[in-house]
Amino acid sequence: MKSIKICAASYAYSSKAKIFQDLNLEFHSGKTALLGPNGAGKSTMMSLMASVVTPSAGSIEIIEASGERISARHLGKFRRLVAWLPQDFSPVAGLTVLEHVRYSGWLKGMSRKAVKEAAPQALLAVGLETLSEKKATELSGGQQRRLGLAGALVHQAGVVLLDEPTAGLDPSQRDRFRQILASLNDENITVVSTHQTEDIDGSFDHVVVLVGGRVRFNGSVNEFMAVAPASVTDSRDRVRLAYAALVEGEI
Amino acid sequence: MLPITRRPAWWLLAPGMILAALYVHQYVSAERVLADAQSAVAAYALLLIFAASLVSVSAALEVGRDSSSRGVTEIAVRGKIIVAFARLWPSLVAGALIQLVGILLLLGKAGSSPNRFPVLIAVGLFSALFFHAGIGMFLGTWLRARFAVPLALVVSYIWLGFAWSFDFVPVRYLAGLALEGCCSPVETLDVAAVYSLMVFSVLGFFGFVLLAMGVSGRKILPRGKAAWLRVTAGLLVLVLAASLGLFIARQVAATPVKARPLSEAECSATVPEVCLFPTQLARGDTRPVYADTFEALEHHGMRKITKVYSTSTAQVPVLSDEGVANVMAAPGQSRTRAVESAASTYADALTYIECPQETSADVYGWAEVLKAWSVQTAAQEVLAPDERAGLPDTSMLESVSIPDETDFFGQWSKLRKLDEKSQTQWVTVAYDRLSTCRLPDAVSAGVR
Repeated sequence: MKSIKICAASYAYSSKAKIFQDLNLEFHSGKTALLGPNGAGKSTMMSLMASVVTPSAGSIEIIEASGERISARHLGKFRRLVAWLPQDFSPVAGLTVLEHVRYSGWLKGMSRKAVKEAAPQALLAVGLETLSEKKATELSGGQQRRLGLAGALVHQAGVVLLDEPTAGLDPSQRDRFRQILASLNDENITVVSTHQTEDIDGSFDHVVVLVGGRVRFNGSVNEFMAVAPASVTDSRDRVRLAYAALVEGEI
Repeated sequence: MLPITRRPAWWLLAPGMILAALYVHQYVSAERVLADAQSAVAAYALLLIFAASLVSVSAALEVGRDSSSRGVTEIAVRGKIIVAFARLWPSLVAGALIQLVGILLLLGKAGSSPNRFPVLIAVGLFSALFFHAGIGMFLGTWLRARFAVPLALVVSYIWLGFAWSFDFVPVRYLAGLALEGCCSPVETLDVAAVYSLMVFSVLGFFGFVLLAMGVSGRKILPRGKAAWLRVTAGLLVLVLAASLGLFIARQVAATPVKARPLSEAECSATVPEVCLFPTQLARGDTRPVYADTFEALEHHGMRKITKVYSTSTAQVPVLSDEGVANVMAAPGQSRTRAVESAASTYADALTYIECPQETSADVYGWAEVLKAWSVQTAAQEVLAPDERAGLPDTSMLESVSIPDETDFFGQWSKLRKLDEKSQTQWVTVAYDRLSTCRLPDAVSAGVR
């Protein structure tokens, strides 16, 4: 997988609530942190890339390593390549954890046989293998997010979109999520929208800062940290200050 | 891929089956469906209230599970129809199982039948479940389960009840309940009623699928042009479904039946010739009893009957000028009832004559006297003494008497006291006069 590209995309909830106007952005292999204040359009951008919503103008496409371009207009083909975990993930009632992952895989077009083989592996990857027979709706908030991630990853997608995966989680659950994130294949395109600036240094390769529906920054982690004053040496402080500088006091 | 065991439809299956079985046991009389597979399967139509309720409620619950989730179904690769089918098939199967049990119980009541299992009615009733699955799916997608489930039950129930009693008759066939009007032994199904149900139900299901694709559980109104387009398309498909269904059923009568062709009747070698349909003969051949009754009454001065049918009066009047009689012959009819049915023909024919209002009550009363005489006279000749015990009590003539005018029971009593010849004379004259709306002389005044 080479990249996922947003080409001149526009999106608005209504004529008065325009989120994006003629947006161009490309995410490449590796892990990208999508930063931005509330209302910047992070979740909408994730939804656009996941093909949950359709841009009113422009297009979204995935460019394979072979050079083949797959437009989001070809929903079936496009969605097979995409995994998406929304910020407000909520499991399907009436299913156990294992059944939930199987159902997620089946929805993604996997055969029954393939999904039966892949589901335990996906649960193992997110550390829920011991809870496979528990009802999905009885899991804690953090466990439910991991379940959502297992469902998103079960079909081996090349583009992984995680929208605020650690928001509202306690520190131990956040640590767990970071470990899972670190274990994701670097050949995939992984985009994580987050408020948590403290992890940027260790966990990501690229940073995109979105403010008011516009890209304020797009570059490597080192380039991002270079925005902070050189006098600051602590990497966490550099990230925090760089972010503050880019959003011009919006935090 | 969804586990087969934990589906809401199965929870509701047992209560649905029990209700259907109780209903059949308690409210469907064996006489209504005896020896008639077509009538038995059509009688199931009333039980749609159980199967349809189960389907709509369980569909709302099933679909509600998906629509209340987040991040699972939104970017599914599989089509909406396939996902909907994965959700809805247990509801449809459970509904079909209730139908199967109900139909088997009704067929059990009907017993062996000369007519074939009416596949078309069964398929039609099954197709009705799709419409209710559509109701449940749409509401389950649009509303939270705590609103969608009771509303699905109410909408299904109201639709069945509303359509069944609608004044504009074709509407009744869109819901399916009206199929229960099919069929007496002398009638056959008007297939247009079933086609109307099938077309409306299946198209209506797709209309609801489109509506469900345009709404979400998170917003009351659709968001975006595509969603509005789907909702509009869904409404248009529902309108199309109703229009086509009404068009197909436009000529179906208040009951979904047509007269059974007389060519299907099996005629006896008796005099007069008696022709009954196979269903009417399935529990015993009463044709000789009919022939004997008409022959006996002919000997007592009544009109000669040349041929006897038991069919719709639209095909054969109760008594034609050519002496063709149309009798009421039910399957399993006893000899006593057959004599009563045949002997009543003359008096029943009088009730079809339109007389002036001032004489109609008298004509009716005298016709009842004639009926009592015909039945008693024929019974004396055709039935054994123990068989006559089941004849209707003539004291009912008191109820048709006109106070201070004519005591029909008294006239009947006087008639019976006359000798046989005088009785015959009075009856033949009275019958001729009543046939032209003229009242006969009282029995006590003697015979003209």
